[in-house]
Amino acid sequence: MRAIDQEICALLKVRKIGGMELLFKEYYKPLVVWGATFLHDTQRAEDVVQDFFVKLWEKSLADNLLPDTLKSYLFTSVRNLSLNQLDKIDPLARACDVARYESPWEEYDSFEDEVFRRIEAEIEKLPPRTQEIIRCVYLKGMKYKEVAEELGISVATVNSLLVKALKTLRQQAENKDEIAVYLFFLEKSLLSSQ
Amino acid sequence: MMGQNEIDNKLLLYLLDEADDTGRKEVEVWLEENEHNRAYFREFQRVHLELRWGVYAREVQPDFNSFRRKLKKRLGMRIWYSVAAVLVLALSVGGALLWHTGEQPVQVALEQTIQPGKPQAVLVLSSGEKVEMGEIARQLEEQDGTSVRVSEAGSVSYQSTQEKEGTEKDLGKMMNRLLVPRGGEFNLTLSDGTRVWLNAETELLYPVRFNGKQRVVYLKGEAYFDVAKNEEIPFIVQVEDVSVKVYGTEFNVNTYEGVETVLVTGAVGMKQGGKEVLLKPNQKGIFDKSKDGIRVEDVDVLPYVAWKDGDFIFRNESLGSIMDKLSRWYGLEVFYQNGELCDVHLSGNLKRYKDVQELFRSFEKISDARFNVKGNTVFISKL
Repeated sequence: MRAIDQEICALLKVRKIGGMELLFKEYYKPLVVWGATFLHDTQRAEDVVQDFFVKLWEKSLADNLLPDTLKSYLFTSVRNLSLNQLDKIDPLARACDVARYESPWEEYDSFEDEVFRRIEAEIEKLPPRTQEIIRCVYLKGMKYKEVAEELGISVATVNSLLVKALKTLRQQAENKDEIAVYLFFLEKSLLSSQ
Repeated sequence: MMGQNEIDNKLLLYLLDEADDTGRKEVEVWLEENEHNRAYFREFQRVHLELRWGVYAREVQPDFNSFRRKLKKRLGMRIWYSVAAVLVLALSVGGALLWHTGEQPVQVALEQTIQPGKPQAVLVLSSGEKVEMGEIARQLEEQDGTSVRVSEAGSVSYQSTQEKEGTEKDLGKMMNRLLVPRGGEFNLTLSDGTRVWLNAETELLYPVRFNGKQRVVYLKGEAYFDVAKNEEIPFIVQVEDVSVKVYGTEFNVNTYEGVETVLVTGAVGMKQGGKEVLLKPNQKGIFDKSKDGIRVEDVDVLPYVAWKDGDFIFRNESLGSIMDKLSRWYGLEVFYQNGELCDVHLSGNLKRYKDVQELFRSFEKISDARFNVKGNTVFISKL
């Protein structure tokens, strides 16, 4: 159990706005990123997380929070809320997309600011053109064809530059020994699938 | 077999839904081949997801203050306002207690249950000197020789002496101010013998002795007046531009929202903007800034004046109004789950010095409002 989770729960229980502030500082960004994983849209994800926090405060849901399960409660809630939201926007999207992510990445234990900071730093080291492509594909949700037209390059180049970026990230991850964590989850999922 | 680059290319196209039917089929067949391929795909997928996370994370700029504003907007201004007010008061009360007792500050700080109000007020003398009045008797003297007696039962009375008759002109305008905080009440006997009961969060400005053709006092908050009879010198309660003119009588004036006068006995006139309306006993005159003129209604006076005898009596009154009154006396912070709850109408009685939770429990029996109390905070939700 983390001390910060304990403090958040204790403050929210007596409805201190400081508890909300702490919750926000600690979890807002990871939860938005988590929500965007399903929604493919950071703005929508921010709305989902903010509405969720308002409800936490408004309906005294915080009364039932336990420090031990705070993290999983928050992530599970945001995941479900995001999927509900997705159903509203595009009922088909879920069927053909999210199924793929019901894999080891459900383990959000390693979902920390620190991990983000590392990836953010890696992205910044990439060539400007690649960064541009990444923005177009992941933030603006553009198709390869649109990206190619906008940047005046071929569709194949768009794909290969992205693949290159992924390779760099993968190598970095290996260097950082994170692969060990990954293999642990992989093993778990292999065992459970047998 | 495909080389690693080729595989990566196809996997990415597949993940981004950019692959054509042939490409998709190829990947699916490749995944079927062996566990090694599936493991490779999972790792590829993870790194791909991490890249997305990094991109998203760069976009998110957490801003608690703007979220706080949103929260505020959603829950309504009123709640936040009352939180602020109570915090300030709680601080000042806590400070005063610490200062007076000094011995066991820890216990004072830990006290968190709902406490009823008590007799307390601040008297501002004509010199500007402030006198804290609690449950201690004391004797003061104004500059014109008028004696000011504070009793231990929470009342202050003025007794004019006739000795300094000659200086009366200069001192005629000497005013005193009585401030009753949230969670307080106080009684006052003016120099003409008029008795005034001041409710919580009330301020009364009045002359040390009455001179001239009128007896004028200035009110903010709620007070019950038992006016000493003097047909030659009318008694006037002034509330901003509304004046309540009295011809020997008992009545209650409340200015918490607009100006509300309830007449018990005698006769009063309510005057605003040059128009005067006469009230009869068991009538209520209301002046609301948003509407023009003074409205008159027949009422049962008891619920309006019961506070002076130590009771809360609510008769088919909106929960919003009930909680406002209770908050002033018990120093509560009130949160409503939704705004509609304010309009629920309820009835009930309570002794002012009793536990307010008794009343909440009886409200729960007759309505679907639910009261959840933590410290001085009351959350009202719908069943």
